[in-house]
Amino acid sequence: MTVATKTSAKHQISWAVAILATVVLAVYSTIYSLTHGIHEVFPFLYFLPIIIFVYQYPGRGVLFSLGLSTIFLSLVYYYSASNTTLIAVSTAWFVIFVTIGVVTSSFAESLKAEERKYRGIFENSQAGIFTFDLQSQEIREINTKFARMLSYEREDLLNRNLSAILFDADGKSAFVRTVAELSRTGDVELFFHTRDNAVRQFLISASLSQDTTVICSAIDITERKLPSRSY
Amino acid sequence: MREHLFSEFEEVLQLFIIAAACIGAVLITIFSLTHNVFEVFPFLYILPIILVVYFYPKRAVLFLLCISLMYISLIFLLASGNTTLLVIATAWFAIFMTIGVVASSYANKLLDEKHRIRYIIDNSQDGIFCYNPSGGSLIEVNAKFAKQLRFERQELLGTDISQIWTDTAERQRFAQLLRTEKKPIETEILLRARDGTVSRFVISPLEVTHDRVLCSAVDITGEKIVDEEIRKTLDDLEEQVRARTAHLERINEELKAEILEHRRFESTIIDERRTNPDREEERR
Repeated sequence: MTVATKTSAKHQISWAVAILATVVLAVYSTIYSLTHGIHEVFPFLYFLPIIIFVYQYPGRGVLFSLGLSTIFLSLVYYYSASNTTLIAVSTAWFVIFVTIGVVTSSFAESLKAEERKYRGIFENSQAGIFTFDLQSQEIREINTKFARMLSYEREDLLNRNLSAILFDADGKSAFVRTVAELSRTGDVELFFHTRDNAVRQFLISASLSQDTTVICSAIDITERKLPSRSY
Repeated sequence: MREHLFSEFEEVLQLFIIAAACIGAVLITIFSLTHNVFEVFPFLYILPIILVVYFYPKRAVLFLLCISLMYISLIFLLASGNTTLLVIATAWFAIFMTIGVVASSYANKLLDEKHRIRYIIDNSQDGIFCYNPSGGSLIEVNAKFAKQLRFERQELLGTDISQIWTDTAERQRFAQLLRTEKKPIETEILLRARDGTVSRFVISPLEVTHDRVLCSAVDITGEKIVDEEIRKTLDDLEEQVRARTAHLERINEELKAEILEHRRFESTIIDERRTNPDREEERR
């Protein structure tokens, strides 16, 4: 078993324990409150397991919130069947729990789907894609395609400064300045170093995202430029 | 223009729904507190909170802080003598804030992620198109892809992919490959531009959902032409070298034959001198 798998298993167990503990606490408090005539506060305790569960397992969030809400309603019916006001309020709580579960898990699911889509586009692209921080100019993400174009492994370039691969210092400064001023560039031709010190020409377009991350797309045009140079 | 009007109407409608939900919650709170019905009214605040998180995630936290403060202020104002109610209201306040912060944080992240994808699609150096493999319609096309085929983006959206990818057999082979191949696919296809010219593209597909395939495409026609030109030049050079070699070999053969002829002639003369010395004398 690798270190990463062990850590992930530990992580999963910690979350499972946290969820179980909050569920037990909510159910125990419900039983205690209903048997002792305290009807006001115990429903609030059900929000915690629902939110934690949805955060960790968004795909099963609706089922979990439905299950937990059913347990809650069953306990109220079992212990206070004669209290019609409490039953009416608990039914409203039931609806709220399920609504919260559905809303948050739908957001979380959509978020995961979008992240998968982003990752897919990033890795599947026929163009090289890399992102860097505008302030530090450090490379944050880079797809395998672009790393290969420069004869590097992906990991070799992560967190490295742009200067490590950009050949032309003036070109780099002008490029970064344009992104900072206009939030995007058109097609810019830049020269990059490869790992074996060859220089290749790329066509780059960049745009500044909502934080300070610059997303760049690049294609190698060295071969395209060769015939036009030779004429 | 029509789209702009529709989006404006939609925004007004959204604001109206949120305002109605807020006013409803506040009025019912006042009515409940003044008529001693304490059980149900806090639930009504969940609706505007969820609506704001859904429609305006960026401003949701500020909004829910305001509405939660409004709720707790009404309780303190109209039921300050009821300590149990004050305690419950404080718990509700915390719940409103938690729900709002959690949901809006998800909604904001979702929005950021959508923006990031939009940035990549719009600014990518490769052409990107998304289509429905069963229906065949083009769902998404970036400007680069449209430009490569000399179309406007709007012209391609919603049209059938067969308009640009005319080879049905090739499309079917590709669909089959998508279904069976588990590893990332990279394949060459022919696409027809607006003016009827056919270009060669290398594409890599990504199955986003069962009815959406997102493809990254790069026009390699130019590269193919350059490759073809280089190949032709190399073939020409090879042919020239072959012809030159053959020519040289021929000259070589001719020279060899000439030398042999000379040698044969020399030896004939020498032999003649040896065998007939009198004739040689006579000639002198």
